[in-house]
Amino acid sequence: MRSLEFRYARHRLRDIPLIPVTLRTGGKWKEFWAYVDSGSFYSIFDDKVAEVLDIDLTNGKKVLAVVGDGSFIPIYLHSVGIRIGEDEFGMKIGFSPKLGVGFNLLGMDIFDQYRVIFDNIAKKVIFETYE
Amino acid sequence: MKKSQEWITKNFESLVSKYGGKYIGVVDEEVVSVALSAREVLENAKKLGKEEEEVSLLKVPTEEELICVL
Repeated sequence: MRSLEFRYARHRLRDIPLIPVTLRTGGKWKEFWAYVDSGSFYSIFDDKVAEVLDIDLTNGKKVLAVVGDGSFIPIYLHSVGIRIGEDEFGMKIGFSPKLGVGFNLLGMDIFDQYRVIFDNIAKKVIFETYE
Repeated sequence: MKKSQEWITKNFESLVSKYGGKYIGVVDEEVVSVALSAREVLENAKKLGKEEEEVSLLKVPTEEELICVL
């Protein structure tokens, strides 16, 4: 078993599980930051990330996701390569022009790859491989 | 861990107050580009001679967005 540890960012005495993930769709790897959100079923990045990755947004499978105020936003699922630490794998990420939160989100689907531990005492989020 | 990653985590609060609502590109311990879109940030960084792979792209939330999310 291997583990990757990321210190929480802080804002006004609040801890924020924000981590770097590197994405690509065939071209060069590009690093983005995402909020580890155990309350989100999908990983959702805004459409500006899709643009940088040369993804034709609406070519992806469209699904609707419920957001905090109960409304639905469209997200378009695309297969991308993702790198976290030294690990590389493929996964479906949703991209949305209506992501109305201030972060890109790494959702529950990443939990298929890692056991994710929010260690609020050590102030870090830990990604452990399952093997 | 890259220098930029540790630096972003440590300086997140000041990044929010300076750049909330924008995308920023960070290389090592420096914000090299600020814009409303990630593509624009990368294009500006490339004009400064930075390689795409070395630019860390952060969507910086506003203070208000942080209150809502958290």
